[in-house]
Amino acid sequence: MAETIRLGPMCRISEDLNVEVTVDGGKVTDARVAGTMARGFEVILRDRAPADAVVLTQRICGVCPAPHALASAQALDDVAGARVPPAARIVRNLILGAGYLSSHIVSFYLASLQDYIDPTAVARYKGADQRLVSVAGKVKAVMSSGDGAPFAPRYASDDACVRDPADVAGLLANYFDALSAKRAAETMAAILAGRHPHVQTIVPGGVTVPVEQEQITQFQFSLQELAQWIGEVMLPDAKTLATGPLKRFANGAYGAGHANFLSFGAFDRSISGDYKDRVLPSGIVLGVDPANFGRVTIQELEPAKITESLKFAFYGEAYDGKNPAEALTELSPKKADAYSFVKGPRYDGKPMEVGPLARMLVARNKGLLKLARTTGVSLHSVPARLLARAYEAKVVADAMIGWLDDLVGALAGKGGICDERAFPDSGRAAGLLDAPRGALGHWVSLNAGAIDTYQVVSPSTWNASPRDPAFQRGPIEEALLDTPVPDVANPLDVLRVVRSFDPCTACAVHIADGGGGRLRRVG
Amino acid sequence: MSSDGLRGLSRRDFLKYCAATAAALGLSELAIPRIAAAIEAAAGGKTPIIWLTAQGCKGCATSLLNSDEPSPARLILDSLSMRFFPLLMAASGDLAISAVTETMRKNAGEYVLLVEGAVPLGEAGRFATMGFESSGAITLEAWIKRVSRGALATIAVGTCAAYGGIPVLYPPANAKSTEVVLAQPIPAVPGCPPHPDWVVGTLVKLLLFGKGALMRELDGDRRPKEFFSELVHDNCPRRASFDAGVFIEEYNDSLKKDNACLLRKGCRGPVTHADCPSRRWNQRMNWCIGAGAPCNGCTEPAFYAGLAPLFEPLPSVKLPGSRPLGIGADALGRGIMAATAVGVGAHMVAQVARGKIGAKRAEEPAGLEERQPVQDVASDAAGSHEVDVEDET
Repeated sequence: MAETIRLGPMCRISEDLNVEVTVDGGKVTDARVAGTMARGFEVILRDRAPADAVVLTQRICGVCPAPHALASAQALDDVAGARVPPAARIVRNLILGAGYLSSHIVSFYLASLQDYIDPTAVARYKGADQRLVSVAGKVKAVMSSGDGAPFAPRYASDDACVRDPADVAGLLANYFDALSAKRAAETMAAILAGRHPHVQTIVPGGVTVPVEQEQITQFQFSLQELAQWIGEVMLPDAKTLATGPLKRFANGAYGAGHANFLSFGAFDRSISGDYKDRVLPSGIVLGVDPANFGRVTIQELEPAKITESLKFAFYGEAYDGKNPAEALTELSPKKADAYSFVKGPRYDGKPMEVGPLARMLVARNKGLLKLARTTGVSLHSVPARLLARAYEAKVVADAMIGWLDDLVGALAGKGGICDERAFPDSGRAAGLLDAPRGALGHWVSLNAGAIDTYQVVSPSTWNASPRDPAFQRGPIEEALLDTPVPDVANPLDVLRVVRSFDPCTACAVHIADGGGGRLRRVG
Repeated sequence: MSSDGLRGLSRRDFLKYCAATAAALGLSELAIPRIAAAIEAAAGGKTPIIWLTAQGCKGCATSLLNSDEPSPARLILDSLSMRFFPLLMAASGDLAISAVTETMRKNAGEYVLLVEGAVPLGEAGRFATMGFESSGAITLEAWIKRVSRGALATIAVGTCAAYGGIPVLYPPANAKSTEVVLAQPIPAVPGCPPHPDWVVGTLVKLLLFGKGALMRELDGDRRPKEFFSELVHDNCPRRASFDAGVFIEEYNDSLKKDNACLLRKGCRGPVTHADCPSRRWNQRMNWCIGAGAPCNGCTEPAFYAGLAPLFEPLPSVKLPGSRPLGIGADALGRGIMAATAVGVGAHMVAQVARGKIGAKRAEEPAGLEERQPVQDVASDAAGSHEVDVEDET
């Protein structure tokens, strides 16, 4: 008999996400995803001074502020006709790249790891590795003290949890090192950004920071340490999880979802804001069969094909099906049929998965494709997302080292660090780039010199989207279908599928309705 | 040095930890391990922490994990018991909620409630909810009121929780500061985000020297004086440039002029209370002005709207050569303009007249108003939805 269970707050990385699944015959037969917090940024931004948008929109998310700063700045660059100097383009890329590293470390270790380990196993660690002995001792003391926070309370471990004492001790030791690595990535970002979060040096027209050789050297030193750690610790851990505990997810029978992928690309190579020439390319993949991925056509991104469905969202439908450049946000909190304040972004009418997997597929990244082949992991699966994220962290870290050389060259040129222009009285533009979690777009229009309209479609809006008028589920909703739920009080696989998308619903505009009836809470 | 043998950290050592001047750093390097040990010893165990986020961006939590000393690993494993901290806690759903209710039940009077984000009272609180009870989703307003009751202390973390910040600018949300919601004085650690040292230091102050000491040494905006008593402008390493009239007019000037003053790019340093110039950010790596970016004033009650447009220069700031800097820095912080300052350019006067800089606007959202006596805030309860969190047994 079918029952609907509601899981909220999600936690890791943020609490403002609810997941509601219908379970029948021990697996998910329907799903609804919604966030539980809304601030109305698109309304707040109206009538503001244009340059303030770079400051304000960062506060959409304190975990990934840099992409918002950059998307906002690129929209404003465009509307002001600014030509961002090469040195500034590279500094912005380095700040965004540091944000990628921090974000992926947070996602893999802080958000995901605990779903795949049994921390109590360290009590049985008998090895002699001093580092592991120390970690095992600490965690054992915490788990047996009666106050296991933050590792307890916790769900009961299942077959997808690592239980070998040495393996768990090793993963937990890396978890604690990951906290330091996150901090190090943000300290590195601060060399060019002033601080992190939130970043201060990205402004319309370029950057504020006059970079000196000493800072480049410092950045390089930190970057090399991080790149090494990512390659020698994080990526192997991802492979261990993807091929071990996540084995039964590997064929993508559940946890996959719509096989449509969207990337705006990231890290401009020559012209700032040009999504056609990026280190991680932009592109579209539709209806991919993972087994035949080598033969799939990567289509060019056409931003005009982006629309937002409002049918199941708490908005007036005057702007239903519109491109964000033409949309206004009008609240309609009592609208019948609606269940979310997240609008439903669609590309050419299709729900699109965004994030590292989308980017790595659009890039046809050889490393990931080979990894998938040799490990037997389907390219569209929960482990594929984890692998893609860890793999991309390495790709980005390695690429950034080369950008430092480019920066030295650019600074030697005469371009300066900022092309400051007055804003026109009116105009419109968009800033499109991939944030760590996926495609991010800022659409701005000016009137009388101030912001008239401002629309943000963030990665989690794409992934955590509700249904559309064609009743197509959003990516996470679709991926949840057929996910096993043998015990509704211990819904580990539901959490694993959702977290593989790394949703950060601070970015999305959602409200979940209370309801009642047959719904029961889970936990 | 004198030292409380029981707690291992003297008042003087604590102040030196807070001071973060170059000289103090030498001593505080001895004090730093004792900071962590002191927190750990203070409660005879790890102090339980409940971190509730209403309309917040998680930047405050992200910033806390960038703590230099104690390290984030030490913070979450040894120093504090992060009972409810969604950024990294194990549980979800009702299991996560149970961590809150069990802490309230077992650790009454011992746990500390940290609030991030402004609290929306509009639309019956539906703009920020978490978990469910029989009547529907539970609002963060209800959560904060319920959890605060049994807390050793409630602390507002970040400018949105402290003063309303950015969410107040969306009227349907009717967003309020923690203090307004709880209708009692609440210590504030503002900043967008706050520096991790400020949060850790405030917890140390509370746990070692008691709530009374913490409450007694707050400034008029409820900020611990140890971190917020001085203006950025007064300690700015670029002050000599301000005094000499050497300004960045466009950012490219930074390539030619070392350490020039950022006043003309909109620097809010003259009206912002924070120790950023000495403490610096991200393990002292850098800071806003150090990277050539004007201070946005993010620790002030007026942030954001009362200081906007951020990149227009401050009005009424006396340029050197005539009278000394005498703007009502505190006044501006409360959104009131000292309109008679000599030397304000016509442009700035016009901006002030349009209500765009500093002056209190007719539609000034709550949260930016002057500090109200606590007994007046009850009138703000109009429209709030009083919901008692269902008792978990």
